[in-house]
Parts: sequence; C-alpha cells; structure tokens
Amino acid sequence: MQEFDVAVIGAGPAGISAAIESAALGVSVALIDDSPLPGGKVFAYPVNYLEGSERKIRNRLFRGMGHFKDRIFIFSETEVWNIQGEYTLGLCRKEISGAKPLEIRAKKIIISIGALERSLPFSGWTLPGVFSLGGMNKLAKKGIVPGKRILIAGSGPLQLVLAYHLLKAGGSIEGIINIASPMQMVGGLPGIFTSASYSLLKSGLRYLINIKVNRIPTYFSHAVSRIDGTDGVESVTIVKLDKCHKPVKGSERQINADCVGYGLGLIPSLDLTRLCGCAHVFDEELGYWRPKLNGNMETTRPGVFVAGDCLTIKGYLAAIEEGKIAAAEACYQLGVHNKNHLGSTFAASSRKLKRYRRFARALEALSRPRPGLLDLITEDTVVCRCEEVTFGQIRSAVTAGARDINDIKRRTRLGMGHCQGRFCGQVINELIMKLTGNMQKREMFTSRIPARPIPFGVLSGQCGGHDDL
Amino acid sequence: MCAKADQHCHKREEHPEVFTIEVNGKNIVAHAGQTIAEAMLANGLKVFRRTRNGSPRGPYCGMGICYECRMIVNGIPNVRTCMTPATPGCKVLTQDESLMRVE
Repeated sequence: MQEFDVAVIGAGPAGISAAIESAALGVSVALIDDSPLPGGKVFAYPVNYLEGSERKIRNRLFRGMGHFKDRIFIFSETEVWNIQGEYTLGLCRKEISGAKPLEIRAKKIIISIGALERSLPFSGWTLPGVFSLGGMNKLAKKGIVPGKRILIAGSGPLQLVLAYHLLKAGGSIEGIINIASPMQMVGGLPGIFTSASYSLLKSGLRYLINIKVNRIPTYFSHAVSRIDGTDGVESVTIVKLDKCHKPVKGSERQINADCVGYGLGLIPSLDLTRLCGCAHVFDEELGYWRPKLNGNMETTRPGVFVAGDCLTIKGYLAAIEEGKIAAAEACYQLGVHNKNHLGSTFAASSRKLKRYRRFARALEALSRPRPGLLDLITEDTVVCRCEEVTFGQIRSAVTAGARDINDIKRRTRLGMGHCQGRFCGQVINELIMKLTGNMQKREMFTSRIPARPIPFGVLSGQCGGHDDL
Repeated sequence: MCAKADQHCHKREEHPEVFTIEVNGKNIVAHAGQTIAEAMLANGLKVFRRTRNGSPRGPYCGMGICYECRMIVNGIPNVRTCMTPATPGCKVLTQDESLMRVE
C-alpha cells in the first residue's frame, strides 16, 4: 500500500493550492480527482478557453504543480469511496476498460471537493435539455451550445456567466428569468460593491453590458413552473412570484425554448466530510449545511481538513487561500515546520479571506430561494431523480407515519440511487416540514460506504471488470 | 518515501484533432479534448439514457455528480459520459434500463 503524508481529495483551485503548499513544505502528497485532468470546474480546460486573470491564475497553479511533480502524485479519474481508520482511503480508478480498486494511506486528509448546484424540483426538470447552470456553462465555455432557443432560469451569478459564454459560442438566448425581485437585486448591490475585488466587478459589468447589448429579455420575480415534452424540452411555462417566492396564480405564460439552464446558486458538497464523521451545522444565514470547523480549516475529526467551496461558497480566489491555510496547518501538525511559518501564512491569507467571505454572503443573499418556491412541486413532480420518487409518494409515506428523512428513504428509496441523495437531500427536510406542518430539526441522510457507486469487484478488492457492474 | 508517480498517472494519448465516434450505430464527429457527452450534444443528440420506467434522461449537472448521462461505452454500462473523454472509434449505446432485468 502506498503511503503519503497528506492526501488531498479534489484537484480544483483549493486542492492544487493545498498540494503545492504541502509539497513546498517538503511532505509527500496524493492529489486525487475524478476528472481526467486536474483543475476542477474552473480550470480544467485547455488554456485557450480561459480569459484574463483566470488564465493567469491557472498557469500559476499548474506551474507550481509541475515544479513539485516529484512530491505530488496525481490520481486522475479516481473516486474516493471509503475513508477509514487513521486514514486508509479506498479508491476506485475509472478506466474505459473497467474499474480498478486501490488503497492508499495518508497521515492527514484535506478535502476540497467543491460545490454542487442548488436545485428545487419542478415538473419536467428531468427532461433531456434541462441542464444545471454550471453544467451548461461548462459546455458553452468549450463552444458547445446544447439547444437552439435557450432559457436561463433560477438565480445567482452563474446566470450572467452562462449568458456571456453562450453568446460568445454563438447561442441564442430566449430570456433570463430570476427568482429575485428588482428591489431585492438593488438591495443586494451595496454588499457586492463593498466586498468584490476590482477584477470581479469588471467581469460582472462586462457580463451585464453583454446582456444589454444583445437585448436579452430579462424577467425578475419569475420561475419556471413546468416543462413539457416527450423526449426533450418542447414548451416551458414560467410563472410570476410574490415576495415569498410563492407562484402567483393565473400569471403563467409560455416561453418558446428547447433548452433550459437552471440553478439556484451553489452549496457545498458534503459527501466525504459526512463519510469521515465530521460534524455539520445548518448555517441559517447562508441557507445550507456546512462542515463545523475546529481551528485552522480542521473539521471536528482531527486530521481531516476542508478547503474551498466544500466549506462555504466563496469562489476560487478564496479557495486558493484556504488550501494554503489547510496545508500549512496539516504540515504543522506533522511537525515539518514551526508555529512562525503557520502564523505568517495565516496572516497573509486571513485579510483576503475576510473580504471573500463578505462577498460570498452578499451573493448568497441574491441567489437564495424562499420557501414559497416549494409550491411549484406538484404531486407528480419527480423529487428523487435517480429512483424516480414523486412528491405524491413522499406525501403517502408521511401520511403512513414517516417522520424523518431516513424513514422516508427506507419507505420510498428516495436518496438511494446513483447520486446518493445529493439532489433530493437538498429539499427533503423542507418537504417533510411542509407536509407535517411543524418545524422540526433538519437532518442529513445517514452516510454509508461506498460513497460513490462502484462495481462489486472493487468492494471485494478484486479487479473490477465490467462483468461485475 | 515516495513511489513512482507515473504508475497511477493517466497517460494522455495523442488523438487526431477531429475523429468519429459511434453512437447507437451512427458515426458522429468529435473533437480532441471533448467528452462523449460534449460530442453528442454538439451533434444535437439529447437522450442518453432511459430509466426503468422508460423516461428519457440526458446530462444535467455536467460534472459527474448526478449520473444522469450514464451510457454503455465499449460494452461497459453506467459510464458517465460527461466525465469520459471521447476516443476515436469508441462505441456508445443508449442505456435503456427498462430493458435491463432488475431482480
């Protein structure tokens, strides 16, 4: 079994930065990522797809990684499905010829697996042609436009980024609809202007001008209420929302679109911190679950650190700083440097971080959905995409006596599919509260291995050919 | 001590800039650096999978989380096409789970 001082899970901006910092301090690093190329969702593109400061930062990170290539071992196309003991990591390498099992050991773990998109179910959101904003943005960035008439729905800054890249790729946008009211948008501006860096404001302004110049219709206080079609998006119905984001009856109208990008901001990806048994808190101000911290980026489980968007959503600049702090603390605990170095790393990063965190809160205030939006979920709306569990089935389970989310899971199979409850888990607490009428404690699904779908052969330590799938 | 890095590093093969892949028996054009999902969407193909109830699905999250884009690639089922690079001549089939036997 290979042994490393530090295992960094997720090779995005936070992970690469943590790997470089650790390697610079002289320890050996395993950098594990499920993509074919390192870089994460921001930087895993060939350089010519990136612009301005993004390109500069990517090059700096990749140069650093290259500089320490004798100490940073990259496991690409590799999933972490198990973490046990002090610390043995169960890995599964995805190869086109079949999955391969692998175990490595590490003294410290830094988890930097980033974010996923917040989404609330509505009728038709499972149809081909409906993408998350980030998913469609990834396509558009590479010049691929997945439809002829695209509607951008939901909320959050990703809408602007997506519109910019779609137009650049030659796409045609039917409209942008946002759940926030114009008043809410204006109210959020001071927060943005006082915390955003100059380069972020500049790109934000460029995105806005781009939308104005191309005369894209923009509707505030609107959401998609349903999408119809047989093998793809054929018609999209949008509806006006009131102050609590409750749909206004009779305000529905049709939009002629064949492709929809939809998302309500980002939330941290928590499957691995949950697997490690770290404590989590529901941050009422931010509106999502996050790992609880116990010192410098360390979770409540000693030796397990987090960095980047899998802690709170702040973007890649903050992720790079947090990666550095997590690595410096992990290496300090390993005894490779003294407290002075830790102090100077921390001082250099913490001022920048304060500002990024303020910016994150300002953005979150603009993208956060309010409870009224749950009224869009009808009886036949699929809530769990993987196991095709509808809201009607959840209602029956609650009527039959189910009171907590793990009970719903056992009764309906909600959250038991391939994605392991990463989408339905976002909304199931709210749905139970809505159905039972009382505010109860929020919960998360019990975490179990394997954290990712793997072939049986990998589980038993055998080589997993496709016969085992 | 550290072992050899290359052992676990994925070796990048050089592919021609433009090549074809086979989707449900039909050849479509793909470009180097594209995933299978990107090549299919660029060619206007949207239905990647059918659930056991027969409903159509295509890529949603685009980053390997939702598993909606899984297809049969070179005979291996449940391959996430949004995470798998297109390679010349690879054979891709719609994964129809209504036809798969689930005990």
